[in-house]
Amino acid sequence: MRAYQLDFLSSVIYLPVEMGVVYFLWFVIYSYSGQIIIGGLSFGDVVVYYLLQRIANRIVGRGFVVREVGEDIRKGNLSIYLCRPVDYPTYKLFSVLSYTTVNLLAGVAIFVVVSASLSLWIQLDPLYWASFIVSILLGLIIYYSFTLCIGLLAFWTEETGTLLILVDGITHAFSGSMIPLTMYPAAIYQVVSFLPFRYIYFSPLLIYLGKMSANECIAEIAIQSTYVALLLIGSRMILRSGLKRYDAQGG
Amino acid sequence: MIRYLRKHLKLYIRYIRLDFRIYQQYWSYLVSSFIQYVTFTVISVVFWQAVFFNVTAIGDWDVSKLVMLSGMMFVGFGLYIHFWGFYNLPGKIRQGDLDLYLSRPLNPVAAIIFSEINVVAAISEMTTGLAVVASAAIYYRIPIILANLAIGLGLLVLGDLVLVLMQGAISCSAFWLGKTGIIQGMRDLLDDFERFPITLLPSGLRFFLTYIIPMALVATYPTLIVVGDIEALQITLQIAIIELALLLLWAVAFSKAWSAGIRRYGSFGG
Repeated sequence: MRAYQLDFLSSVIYLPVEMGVVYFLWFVIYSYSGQIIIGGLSFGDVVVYYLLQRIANRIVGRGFVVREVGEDIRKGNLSIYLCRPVDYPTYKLFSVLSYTTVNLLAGVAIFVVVSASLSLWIQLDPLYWASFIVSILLGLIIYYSFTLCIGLLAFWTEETGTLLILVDGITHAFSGSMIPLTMYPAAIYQVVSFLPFRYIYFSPLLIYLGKMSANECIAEIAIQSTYVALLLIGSRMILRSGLKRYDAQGG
Repeated sequence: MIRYLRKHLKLYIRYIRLDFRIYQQYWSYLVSSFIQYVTFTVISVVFWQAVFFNVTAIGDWDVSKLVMLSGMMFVGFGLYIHFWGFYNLPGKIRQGDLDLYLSRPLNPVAAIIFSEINVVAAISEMTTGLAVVASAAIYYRIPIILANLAIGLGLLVLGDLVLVLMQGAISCSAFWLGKTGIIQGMRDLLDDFERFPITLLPSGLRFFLTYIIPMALVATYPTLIVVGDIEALQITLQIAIIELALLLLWAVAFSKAWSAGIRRYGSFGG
């Protein structure tokens, strides 16, 4: 850290600069539209939404699992893990968690500072906070499991880079990362609601914003848990099937 | 002088040929790049369509102009990545790889840019952008005057060149600072402003993003000029003059930074 002091200093203000872009974008949209509520959210809600989403993005991470798993399989590095008394998917999950822990701590600090300085609304109900934390962690596991499934397709395909691009695009569009899903036309929102992507960011963020009742929060978390189970089982099945054809020639 | 230029032109053409050859052999990269650009384009269009599902207009900007803005953004970025060598310069400085360029009888800056040239990606991105602009013009029935298109693209080139030289100057800071990843990241964050209409921002920010860091020139103003916006056309000359001054300023800044950096460069690497 001391060797690259400017790097460290810059990383502290990285997120607020990014938030500035979002803030001005939605300020312009709400100002010129003349509407107070768009897609069920006020301007204040949207600012909190995107601030939390940017922080959650650092917690949930990006598609590097696809890249790493794909490389492990293609280069034969998977053998290292198969020889060890570690479970590969669990190992990968905890390596993701280690990455997210540091970002979570920094993110919480930045969230508090930015919220206080912009006088943003802060959730005070501890039950909603607890639900949000549980939900965002389940969202992380959903995203991890989904990207793990995609990465494991490297057993059959040499190129996972294109898949990563598509995964990132689909996740960005349908998880609530790009725009709150309630702003889509009703028909599209209905379809998107059945997909697991909305439970990565959109559901946890709505829980935090208090847009769901207690029963709805419980239902969302139950659905997230179901998706987690399905995706983890799916990844296990893909891994088992892929290992039958795995051969660590590398290159 | 002519021999010097011809030598560098030959090198430039050679690297372009190499780039095409790579994509011919590894056509999956081309497919992957194409899918990436289409995905980004679709995401931009979907975003604005979703916003305009809820609102009818944002100031003078309607969905047609914003879709064209998305396309113009890709054109600008496609031109920018032609000079990707500047972006990777800090890594070369840190690892001591500049020797490869300093030991040759060539202009090292030109050699760095040419060696990292990604013509196929640049052409793909620019083509995708122009296709979006053309499709939006046809779908939304926006008449395009060729003179406006030429002026808009000219401003875009000017803005991109300023940003390229700015990038070069930022990259030269690696001679003193070592790792510049996060500074670069902050500079990259400003790219986010490209994707929405800068003319709607508060006046101070609008001035900064037009005349200091000309993000407005790589998408917003070219779009307005192409669609024939009167106000934008009226201030084109003013913008162009200021941008030429900025171009000169950043060219001098980069030149000074490079000269000073090379004097302290020690290719120890790490």
